[in-house]
Amino acid sequence: MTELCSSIEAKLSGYLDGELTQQESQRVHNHLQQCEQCNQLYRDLKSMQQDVAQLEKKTMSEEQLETLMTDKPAKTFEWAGWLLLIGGIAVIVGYLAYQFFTQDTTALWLKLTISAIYGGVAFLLLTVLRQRLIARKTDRYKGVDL
Amino acid sequence: MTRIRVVNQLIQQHSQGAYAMAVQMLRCKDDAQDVMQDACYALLRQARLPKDSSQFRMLLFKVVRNKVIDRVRAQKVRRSESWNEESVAANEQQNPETYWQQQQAQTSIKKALAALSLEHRDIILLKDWQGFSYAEIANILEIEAGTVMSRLHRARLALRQQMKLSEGES
Ligand SMILES: [Zn+2]
Repeated sequence: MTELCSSIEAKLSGYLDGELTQQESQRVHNHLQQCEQCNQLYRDLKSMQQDVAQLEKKTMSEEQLETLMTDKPAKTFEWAGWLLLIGGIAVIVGYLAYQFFTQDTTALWLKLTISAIYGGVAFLLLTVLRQRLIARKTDRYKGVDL
Repeated sequence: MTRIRVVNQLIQQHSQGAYAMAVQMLRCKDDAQDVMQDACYALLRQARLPKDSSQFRMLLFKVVRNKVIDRVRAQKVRRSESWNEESVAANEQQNPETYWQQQQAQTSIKKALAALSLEHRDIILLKDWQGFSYAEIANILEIEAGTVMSRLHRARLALRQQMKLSEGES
């Protein structure tokens, strides 16, 4: 490769994209007429460019597009929702437990047994919920067809 | 027109392209949708937005790309494998011959692109897939305008190398 060729080669992408000055562009154009090696490279670059341009572009559905303009990030809402839900439940459970232990006249051993049963049910529910959430997270990539 | 209507129209106009770029980078439609949501929300909160269509498009891509990178860093998703085999369940075209040729060209270019570094792949996609000018690319990637041409050229040479390699294999 001559020195001229390497100086032209560096400009081939700019030439292809129409980003050279008129003078530079003319210089490359003239060289391509005479030099088969540079011309071959230029044709390769051009055909690759056409291939890339034709690559498929995934699109959003109308509804998805619509939510971009109306919704805040869904995540924020989801978080806020969960936080409110859990906070609310915690307050109610705490209040009921407090009442149960201080105001009810049932014997202490019975109170503890009943608490154990409720606690057990709640614990099982949480475990199931946790597994569900994990399953949902690992499922995320399932629907992807890249 | 009110500001919000102008912005909505610009989002409508340009978000599909940005979404395609995000899907390609993240390999996940849900994540890409999330990123778009985040990006549009961030844009809508900005006090000054360009009303010019191509300026807006450039800004949208910049924000989306940065959000994608943040997300990838957080998740440590490996992106280099994006764009491998794709289901050829695409609709039949009138001319099966040209269709098949196109599919083949697409597959080999996809494989070659997947083998490139992120830096090289991004710049090629911004130019040849999304059609940005050198000045716009410099802005999106936050690099000197003068380096776009040389980086893009190196990227294309690397892509050509990959194409030649895979031709040799088959
Ligand atoms: Zn030459």
